[in-house]
Amino acid sequence: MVTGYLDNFYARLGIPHTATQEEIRHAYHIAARKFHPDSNKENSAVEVFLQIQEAYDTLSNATARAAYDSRLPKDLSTPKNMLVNAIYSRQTLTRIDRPQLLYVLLSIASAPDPNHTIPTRLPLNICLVLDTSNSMSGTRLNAVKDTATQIIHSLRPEDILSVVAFNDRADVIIPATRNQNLNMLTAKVSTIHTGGGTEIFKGLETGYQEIKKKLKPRYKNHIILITDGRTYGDEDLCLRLAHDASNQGVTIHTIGIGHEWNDDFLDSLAATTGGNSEFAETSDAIEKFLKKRFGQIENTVATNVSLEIKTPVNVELRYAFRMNPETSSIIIGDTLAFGDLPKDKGMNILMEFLIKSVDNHQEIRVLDGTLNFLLPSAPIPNVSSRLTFSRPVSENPKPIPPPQILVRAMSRLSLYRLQEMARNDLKAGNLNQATRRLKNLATQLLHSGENQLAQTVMLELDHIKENHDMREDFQKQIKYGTRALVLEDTKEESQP
Amino acid sequence: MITCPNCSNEEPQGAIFCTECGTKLVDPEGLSTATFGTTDLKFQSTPPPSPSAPAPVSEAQVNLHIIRTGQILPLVGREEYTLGRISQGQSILPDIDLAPYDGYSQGVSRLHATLKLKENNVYIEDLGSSNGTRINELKIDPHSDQLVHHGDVISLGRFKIQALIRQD
Repeated sequence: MVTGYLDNFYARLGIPHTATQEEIRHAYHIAARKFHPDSNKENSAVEVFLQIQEAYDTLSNATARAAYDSRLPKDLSTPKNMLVNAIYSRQTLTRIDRPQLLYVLLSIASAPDPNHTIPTRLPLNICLVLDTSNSMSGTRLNAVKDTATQIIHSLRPEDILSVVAFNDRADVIIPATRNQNLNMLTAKVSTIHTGGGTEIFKGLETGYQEIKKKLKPRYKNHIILITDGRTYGDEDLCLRLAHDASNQGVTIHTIGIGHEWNDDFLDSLAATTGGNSEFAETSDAIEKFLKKRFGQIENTVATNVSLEIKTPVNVELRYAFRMNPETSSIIIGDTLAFGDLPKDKGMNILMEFLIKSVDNHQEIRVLDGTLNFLLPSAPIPNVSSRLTFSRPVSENPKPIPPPQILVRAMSRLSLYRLQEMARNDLKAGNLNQATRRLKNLATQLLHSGENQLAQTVMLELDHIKENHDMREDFQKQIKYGTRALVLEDTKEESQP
Repeated sequence: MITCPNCSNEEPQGAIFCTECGTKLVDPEGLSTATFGTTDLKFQSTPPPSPSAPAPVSEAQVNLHIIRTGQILPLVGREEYTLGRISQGQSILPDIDLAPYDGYSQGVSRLHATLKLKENNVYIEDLGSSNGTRINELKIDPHSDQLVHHGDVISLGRFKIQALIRQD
């Protein structure tokens, strides 16, 4: 079902406005093949396919295309080699004097590259920032060292891997240089030992200095922070550094081990740069997450995807969440950091807009934005294009159910949001409200067959009743447990 | 405003899920035909209010009480619902399929009637069904809108549904 036309038919096909009929047909054939339900088994493919079809039907017809062009804002441009797509929850807004909600599912995918002209194997510039405080000693540090050693042996000569160890001070174990002797690197990693407390800012700052030595848009610049503790008093400094790093094209990822670390802080740190945070409950998970992270960094086509936004005074972007390729809450600000775009996979961002009033407008421009990203393989890596979301207003629109793809996305997200709101309630001291939400969360989890997670929530409800607070370990299990449910088709993917 | 059918929390227009309890606030099947199997009705185990019960204060909301089985079908998200039953080879499908409730033997036509929600009132239009539609046992004329009140019993052939309506 196609409801709500896209912001831009040209973007759906990844072609410029000046495209000839031949180019349109060519782009359509490639895009349609990629998303045809016969070859693409992803749930969302059908809807994307129908939208590509809709775009082609209009653009391939000269009269329809001219009519469509006349409605497009003049300054709208199309990112080359990118398929950009927006699916709205409603076709029209209603002229009422109360606030109303609009959801937009923005999807960004790299245009098909059948001839493999876009290289993904670009040089890495990665810094591992390792917590070596006392609590890391034993299996935790060993797991990190073992994984680091394995990663070192998979490096190519052009890759740069730096390693920083920190506790209450920070040391550069491996400086950022190319063409290193791999055995020497391994030997250096093996000398890392533990001691002292956890001061994350010192580690981050030192790691950032190493990254900056080799900072180039042609590289994939990432910091991976691994910690098991809390840092005190320097959180704001860390977030400011993350902000600066994000502007410089550096992405920060975090892996928290055990239960002592501050998940709100590490989530924000990663999200500020569009990176990911992971919860490694035991040391076994460290290897899995670290390898996954490297694999994903290697498989990206575009990095540092971000959206600079402007919304009119009567519109508020209340919430944004990245549904794919990895689930993460997105920090609302003037610029939204979306992170990396993997090859052959799309990125989906769900946004919730509160439209406070529509007044006498015939149309509301919900968002006026610039989509920016780095294409490390392109001669000029910095690419940006305009992106607008707008909806007409009508007096009495026919109620049309929202597109299923959007409902499904929100359905997967609703449980994560419930726990998120329950935690905010607790922080604000609304114990009753939090308890009620968690009870509802447990009910919904049971309903969707997540019995173990439901059990965890119910156990924690008992604890809250007596102690008026959530335990760190339960809090994390519930948060990352519901976050994992957001990812589409995780169950199906695990089957052959 | 949309009122959550599960927890009565109020959400702004356009909401898709209740922020309080996570209940879906839109028609789960989108535009496609909805078949209400018994498994969909877990949350509706409460007995229906008697016809004389005072209508709760809220925006118009319609539930259909299937008298034979005691099940309640909530109608959420649209202005019109066609009632009928799905059988093989049918090109136009009703929104609400009564076949699972033995609609065929009770004399329900494939496209029997349309229930309409407009301006806070509920109307039913018989679509020229074979066995006719009755409100409280009075036969209505086909192809004309008839007002339905809270507690009215609608008969599609011999298939009886009670309309449970909440109005302002």
